[in-house]
Amino acid sequence: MTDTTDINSAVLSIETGLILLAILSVAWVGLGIFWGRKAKDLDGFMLAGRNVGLALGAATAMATWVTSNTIMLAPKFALQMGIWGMLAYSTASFGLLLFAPMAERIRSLMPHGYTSGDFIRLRYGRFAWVLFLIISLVYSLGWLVSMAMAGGIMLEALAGIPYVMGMSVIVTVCVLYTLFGGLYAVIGTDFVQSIIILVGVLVVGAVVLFQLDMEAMHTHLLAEQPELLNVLMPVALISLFNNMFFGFGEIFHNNVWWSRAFAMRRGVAGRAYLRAALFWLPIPVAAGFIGLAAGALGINVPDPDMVGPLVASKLVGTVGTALVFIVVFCSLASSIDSLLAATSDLLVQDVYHKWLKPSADEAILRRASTAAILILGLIAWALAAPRLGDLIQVLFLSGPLVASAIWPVLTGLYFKRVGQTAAAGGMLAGSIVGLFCYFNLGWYTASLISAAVSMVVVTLVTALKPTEYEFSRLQEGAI
Amino acid sequence: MNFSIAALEILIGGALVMTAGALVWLLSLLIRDYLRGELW
Repeated sequence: MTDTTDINSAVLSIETGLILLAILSVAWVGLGIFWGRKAKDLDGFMLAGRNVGLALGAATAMATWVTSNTIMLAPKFALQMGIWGMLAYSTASFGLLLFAPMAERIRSLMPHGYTSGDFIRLRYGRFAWVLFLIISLVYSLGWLVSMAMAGGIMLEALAGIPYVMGMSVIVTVCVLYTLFGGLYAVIGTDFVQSIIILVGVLVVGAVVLFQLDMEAMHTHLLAEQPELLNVLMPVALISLFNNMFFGFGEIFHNNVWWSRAFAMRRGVAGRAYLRAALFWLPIPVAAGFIGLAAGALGINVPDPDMVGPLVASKLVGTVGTALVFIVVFCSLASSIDSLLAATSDLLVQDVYHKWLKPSADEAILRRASTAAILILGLIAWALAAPRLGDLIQVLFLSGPLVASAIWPVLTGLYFKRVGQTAAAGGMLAGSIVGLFCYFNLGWYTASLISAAVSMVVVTLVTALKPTEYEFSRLQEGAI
Repeated sequence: MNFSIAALEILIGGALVMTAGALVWLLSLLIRDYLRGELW
């Protein structure tokens, strides 16, 4: 094992890294093809036959929400914002928790639905739909590119695999198995990946905990960075609420979560999301606390994004580092595959089928799905290749956009008085004000303010101009 | 006011116990669904 305190020296040999990369790549593509054989028709390919059970449903929601950002940013939040930094990240699980009853309602209101775009189009009409699609596609692409970049950066830092090579392999593997097996492949691999992620986080966390002198760490933090232990750290507390609302916005609007609600069998969606939230809740703390230990261990952290793997490799050794490598690969793959599948559904169903070619039959749509997955993979690769920008900026820039969709989606599912002017106005005003705050006040305020502005606009417009929507109109026929 | 060592230990230990619980729960769900033929 090489010296772990230098960011420029990889913690695994490149040979070990390449072997692990090859094994994982072959495994995911193989499993994807194996499960993908079940995808006989469009419903099978896009929604895994609409009959997914509780275990697979809960695992896919959890694994998708554990991104490489969870593994990388939770320790970074702990390093920069202390205890509240970790807890702030954990609040992202509240999005899954609150989505649980919504998922059940979505499944029953739209038994033949395909995308979150279907809901906005049928509920609020064309203008709100276009606005929603722009927000959703910007966010999905942002998430996809940040995942691809994170993959390249992590594999380079952990095993010295060149950035472009590592990023290309991860994107190619996910494109391949999503292409062959659609949502069947995504959900099947997500289950295996969720087990690996939980085992990895548990083993690395437990070994670090047993080797770490908690008292020494506490004393060091009190002496050197007392703000990290401060019960009332203002920036971290704002960040906590901001993260929570960003999480609500991400989950409530995005087709990654809606397509899973459509894919689960009746009566399963709500229970699956509830369990996924509970499974996810401890992970940012279990994976993030090692960021607090960097100072006490005397580890130089030139790049805060890398604090987790640096501390883990220092305390756990080569086997532990290999485990971190595998967990990172799984967390990346489980998110990238879901994004490819759900975003291609959005492009095919909303943009191509409902907008450009309403006469398209099932065979044409199936071919369009293949093309959409390939194009998305290519765009993500092309945008990630130059390695531009700070990861957290890529991730959080879309925060105010998605937070503006929280109230239009939530109220649209439950209240018939909310109309298209309220929904479109809320999304527009929330996004504009939120983006202004992102650039002028700080990223940690943008989602919070966007959601607040959107809420005020939706409430006021609904009070002034109420509508009477009939929910049965959401039951659009199957293709 | 700062977080104490005990609070830190409870928080981190609790998170790891919950992670272990999640793993066991998920595997038991898998076995149950498999035995009932309700995986997909």
